[in-house]
Amino acid sequence: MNQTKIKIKKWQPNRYLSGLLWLLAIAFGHAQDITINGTVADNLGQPLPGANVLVKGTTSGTQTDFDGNFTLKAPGNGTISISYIGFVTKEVAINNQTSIKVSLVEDAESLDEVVVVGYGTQKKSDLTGAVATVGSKDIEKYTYNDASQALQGRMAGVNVQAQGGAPGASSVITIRGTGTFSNAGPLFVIDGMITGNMNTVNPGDIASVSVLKDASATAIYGSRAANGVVIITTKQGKKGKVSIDLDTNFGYQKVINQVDWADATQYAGIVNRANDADGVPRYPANDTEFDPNYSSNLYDDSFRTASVSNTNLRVSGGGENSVYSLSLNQFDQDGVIKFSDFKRTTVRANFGLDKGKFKLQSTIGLTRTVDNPNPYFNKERNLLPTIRLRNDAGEWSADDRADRGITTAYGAFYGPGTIANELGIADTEDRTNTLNTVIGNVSGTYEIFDGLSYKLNLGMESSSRNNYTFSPDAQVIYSGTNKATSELSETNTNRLNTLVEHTLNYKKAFNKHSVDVLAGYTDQKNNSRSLGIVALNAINDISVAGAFSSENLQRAPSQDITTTIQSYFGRLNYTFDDRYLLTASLRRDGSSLFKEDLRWGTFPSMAIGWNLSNEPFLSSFDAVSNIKLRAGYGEIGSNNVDAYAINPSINLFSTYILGDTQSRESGYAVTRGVNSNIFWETTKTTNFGLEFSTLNNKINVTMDYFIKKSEDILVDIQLPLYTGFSNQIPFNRGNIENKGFEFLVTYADQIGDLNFNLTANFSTLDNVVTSLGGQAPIVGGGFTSNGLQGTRTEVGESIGSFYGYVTDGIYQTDAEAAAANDQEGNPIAGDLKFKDFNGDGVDPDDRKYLGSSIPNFEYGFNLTADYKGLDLSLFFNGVSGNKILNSTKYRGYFDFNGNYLADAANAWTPTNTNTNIPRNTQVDPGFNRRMSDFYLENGAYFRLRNAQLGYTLPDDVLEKIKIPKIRLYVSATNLFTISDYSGYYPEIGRNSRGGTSQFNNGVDEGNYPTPRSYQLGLQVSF
Amino acid sequence: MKNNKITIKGVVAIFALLTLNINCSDDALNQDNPNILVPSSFWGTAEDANKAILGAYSPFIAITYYSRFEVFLSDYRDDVVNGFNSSDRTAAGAFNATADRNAPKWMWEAQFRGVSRANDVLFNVPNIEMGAAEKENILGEAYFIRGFNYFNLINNFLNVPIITIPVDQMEAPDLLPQAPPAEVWALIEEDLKKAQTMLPDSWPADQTGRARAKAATGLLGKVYLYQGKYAEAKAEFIKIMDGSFELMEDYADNFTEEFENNKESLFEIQLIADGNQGWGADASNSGSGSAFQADLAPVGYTNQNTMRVNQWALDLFLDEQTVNGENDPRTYTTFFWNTEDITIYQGDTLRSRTYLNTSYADAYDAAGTNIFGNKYADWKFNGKKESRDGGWHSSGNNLRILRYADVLLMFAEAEFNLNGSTQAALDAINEVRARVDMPAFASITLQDIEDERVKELTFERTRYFDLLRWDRVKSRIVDNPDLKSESGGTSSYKPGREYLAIPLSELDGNNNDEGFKQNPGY
Repeated sequence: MNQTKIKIKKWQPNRYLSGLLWLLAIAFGHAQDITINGTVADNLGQPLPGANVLVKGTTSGTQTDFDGNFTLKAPGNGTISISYIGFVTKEVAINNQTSIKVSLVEDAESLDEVVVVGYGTQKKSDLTGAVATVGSKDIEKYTYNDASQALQGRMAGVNVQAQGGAPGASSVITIRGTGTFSNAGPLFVIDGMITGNMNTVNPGDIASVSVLKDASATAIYGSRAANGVVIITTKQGKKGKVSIDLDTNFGYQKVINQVDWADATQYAGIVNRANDADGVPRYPANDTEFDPNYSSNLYDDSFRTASVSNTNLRVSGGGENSVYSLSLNQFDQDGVIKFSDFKRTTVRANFGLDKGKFKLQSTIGLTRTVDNPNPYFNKERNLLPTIRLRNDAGEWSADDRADRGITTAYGAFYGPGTIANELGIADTEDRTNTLNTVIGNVSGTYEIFDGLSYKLNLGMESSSRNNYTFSPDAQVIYSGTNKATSELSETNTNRLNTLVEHTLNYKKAFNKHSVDVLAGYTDQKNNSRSLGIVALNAINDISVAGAFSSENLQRAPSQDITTTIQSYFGRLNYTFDDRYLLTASLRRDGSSLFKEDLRWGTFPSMAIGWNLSNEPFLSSFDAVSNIKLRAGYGEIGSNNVDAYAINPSINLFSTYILGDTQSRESGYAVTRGVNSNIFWETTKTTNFGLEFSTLNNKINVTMDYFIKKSEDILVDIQLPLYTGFSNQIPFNRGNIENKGFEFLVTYADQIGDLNFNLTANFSTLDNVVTSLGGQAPIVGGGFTSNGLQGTRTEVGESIGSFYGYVTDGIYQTDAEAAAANDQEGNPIAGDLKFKDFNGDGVDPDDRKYLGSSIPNFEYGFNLTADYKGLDLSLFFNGVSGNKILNSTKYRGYFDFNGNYLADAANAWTPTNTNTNIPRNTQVDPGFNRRMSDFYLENGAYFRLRNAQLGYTLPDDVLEKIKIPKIRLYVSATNLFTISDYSGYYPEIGRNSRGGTSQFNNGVDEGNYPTPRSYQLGLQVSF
Repeated sequence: MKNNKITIKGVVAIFALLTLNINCSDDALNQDNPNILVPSSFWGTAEDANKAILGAYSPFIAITYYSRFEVFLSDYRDDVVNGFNSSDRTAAGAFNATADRNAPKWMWEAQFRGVSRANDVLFNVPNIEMGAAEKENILGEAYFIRGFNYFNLINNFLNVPIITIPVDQMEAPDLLPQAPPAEVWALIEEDLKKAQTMLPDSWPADQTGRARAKAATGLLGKVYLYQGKYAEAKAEFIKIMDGSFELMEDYADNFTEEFENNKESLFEIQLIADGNQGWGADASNSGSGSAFQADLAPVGYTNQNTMRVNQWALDLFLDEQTVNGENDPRTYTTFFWNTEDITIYQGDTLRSRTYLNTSYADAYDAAGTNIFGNKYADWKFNGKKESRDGGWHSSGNNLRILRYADVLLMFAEAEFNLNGSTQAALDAINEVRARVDMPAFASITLQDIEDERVKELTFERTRYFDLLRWDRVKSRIVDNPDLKSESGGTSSYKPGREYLAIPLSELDGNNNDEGFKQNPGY
């Protein structure tokens, strides 16, 4: 009896019921039955230990043993029902067979699916909060740069935006809109270890990802959960035989869309026209000395077809009391822009042990990434097309004058500007960022008495990062002169993040009541220590040691940062009669980021659920089933504060001069203002959910509506200078509100041999700043080196809304231009016409909010189908309602320190008036370049993100070659994208010059293009 | 059921473990920044107190204060200087220093930085265990620095907030009101009175430059004089006229690096040319030279727009002659003008010369009429070719804030206002005149004192504030737009613009809309 109990998987929800049935079976017995010996396996032939086998219409049954075998006495004409969690229950007629082989099919959409939530799991039917999940089947199919991209478009309310298409580019995840002015993203929990991102996880290792969206689900994570929680569970072994799975693919990538830059002839024409208009003499390179033999096409020469490959090898299995899984992944990607590539190697070892009341679980992930980025592509002030990329000697160059026998000064010959050969720089400079990470945890659980268990979880994340850049002397090419100074910049950073977590869990079901109580205490410490060096005139080809012999050791950027957090938490899940559900949780966090009396924050939440379908009065109502209503409220925190932000620092250089001999004496002063009274940002979420199924559970629908009010948001405020401080200081004064609706529907059906599954989701979002605490609107979104700013954040608008003038075509006559009475420029015919809304001339008061970079509607569709050996997966996603500031238009039409867009040749002239491109001018007296809707484009897109077609060899073939599974597949990424956007790709990330701040969202400063890729792959299981 | 005992043991063990863990790690939440020196680890020793008070002096030598920008908000506003070009720098002189201008904002910021650091010292140093005398001296310096900065603030901005505690001790630093000027004056008096008693009479040679008791006394007298409290002013000045200070024999020695902190000097801003050229403050490379020289230097000897001197000032200097029938020697020190006149003074032959000993005719042309500044240039001392020869901070000539000659003239003024042309008043002014061979007055008028102040103190940051306290800014400057002809005249003047505008940052950052207002006229 005891033995049977051990075999029952701990997390099986119906364990009590089945145990009871088993007891009953023994108690009463069945005298005239035949004895059946059977085995239960999954569709790959792996035995399923602990599956329930029940004689239909009776209470007698058993469970399969460790090898999936069972023995059962049953009537020869009866039917047995075999059920196993996560698989479709199957009924088999006995027909007097004494040996029965049963193969179960996995049921991904099973309503009794177990969902990973904070510090535990819950049956989906018991959930009261908004939790979105994606399983391994949807993730492992495709090859991703980065694990977070596997979530993109699959979950309503979860926005994932890749930071452009560079190899290894990370993503920004925003859950239910931004409720902070900081860059904070969600909290990540990888197998119980709390961390800041999921970049180190091999997507192929993921068993499931749960995204906790509303406060009732996230409040158990307290002060760090306001931006949502992403829980990643990696694959464990299964008890049974050793299985070896190999999945390898290889493919290539190409840029999807090209931006049409001017060639040398077009360029010369544009500049000559501008010079003529401005009354400036033409430059010889464009005019008298123009020679098409001396020309370049920087962008054509920058792109390439690049390879990508990904290989996963996994060995897993388990003995009677243990399970293990060991996996290896190698991902190599070359960039579609030359001189960029990325490699990732991951090893993951997971191990589980259960013996009696004791359970042990350990997981260790080792990751090494080597990134060689090309940060120079598509930057302002690139090489003019009237200059070759390489000189006669074949060396990178930005100046053909010597080869051409020209002695005119550079600027006088080519035109003014700081001109860089960005491809040459990318080639000659050496850049490598290497990151080695170990993340893992060990947890032990002991069942103190029936229902009460204690768990100790010890987690660790350790990483070492090396960032290295070396530019040799005589290599960087600006304005025709080589940079004479070599520069070495290298930084090593070591991080250690440790977690100690004690939890007590009591689970008990009695009569119609079921309780699950959790209490815990955790302690987490994070230390980061770095040491770096910046040296000029470093000796070529000598590594960091060269810095010490360099003539100019410039800086040693280094720091040591420690943060700690201690927490107490508790949660109660109570279910009555499977009808009424209650979840209440409370977390109390103490953080080293805040001062002693503001250090502790308490984060409560409560949610209720009502399984309407289980009410007696609906028992006969079958059209719609599994109806559940949910409502929840909670308060969670966001500790978006840099370490030591509350500590004022003493400046050591506040010197004064003293003494008869006058020497500088060191004086100390507090020179930077801090606000030591800052505390948590608080987000209060109210969530309403409705779930139901229809068409015999073939269609499942989940809907959620939320109102998320973020309060006490930190706003950097300029205090009066009479405080003695001139820096901006954070205060908890802002409020932001996000509201949205989320919808998810799945439809699974079977027509003959055709199985298909369709999932669709969409979400809406309304983001509004409701208070800035009196601070003037926050200006951001810089998109040029000339200081123009594109966004403004003000009460009543979305964060980082675009703000500027509204264009109204082009002035056709000088008289029309003069009549506009423009206060910021002196336009003439051919200049952009800006709208004067209040009739007092065009002035800064005529600037308007021009839209937001935040999509207000996002959607995704996932279709999977299989027919006999063939399988097809298509995944589409899209966004709409957002705008993109295409700063390439600034560079391509207004900035004269680089090439122009080919379209600038179609500028307004007295004979070419039917155009929306303003006249060519470099002086720009009409100030055409000011921030206006001229730069803004519709950011909506719809794309076929992933497509895959696979073929699995039939069983008869496989049996001959003694291999359980062989599957061949072809897949493609970004096969098509429907978009109006004229830049490289509408998924731009946050990479503009202002950094990744919210206020720069939606500014595309020539981001690395997202490629289209094709891959061919092979899966083999042994 | 029989497992109950084990169970209880287990639970106890777990809670014991939990408790142990919690108790052990309680301190873990207190994380101090190991990368910097934090105030909590500061304020412990006499050394800390000393470093902190030097930090409070430090804003004086910021480029935004006495190292350079203050000159645009003092001498550039008076009736002697006619600044070239209308710019951010000459705006205050043309009554056009609106709330968004940089120069007033920067100086305001630096002055309040001085106040704030003095407040840090006054708040923290009393708790430090250190020698009583040393502590007292440092606190005296803090009072002096605060009082001095507030004196500058009230003369420039009139309506300022009173801040006497560290900002981090304030409930709502953004809700402060401006104080009535009378309260600010009272604070200044109070601070200087404390400084007077707490400061030492002298410092060791390696500490020269720190405020002394008599500096506080002199400044307190000046503060009384500015308010028309003549009796109180006189009482303070008399304390200084006890033989502890005397005039330098050679007037010009007051403006050279060679004779810094001399026997005539009560308080100087200590400047240095130590190679640092950085433009900011509080950084390892901040320059702290007499960068203002570039703005007083003759055209051609600076890359800045600089200024010329209005003719009336030269005329005033040349209006009377020495006992030897020559030009007032102070004219040569103060101005560079088109003359080949000479004066024999202190055994030297004084001529109108500038950098590299260049004559006016050689520098410009023999028919030139523009008059330029020459004080502080000190080209004789360091042989500079021009004011920025070697960078902004290439000269370390101290800026004299309070000289004994000024004290004597202020005494004469107080005495005259109290008792008329008494012997005491005459003795004081005549002592100043005698040093430069000017004949003694037998009796004086207020005008004589005013004129003497121009001759003695031009380019010493006092003329504009003299006109201000005499309520003569409008009649003397505004009504004579020619005095500002090179930078747009005085048509921007509106009543109230005798004072500078409160910087925009302060109005934006202060949320006390009732209690914190822009100055009249802006």
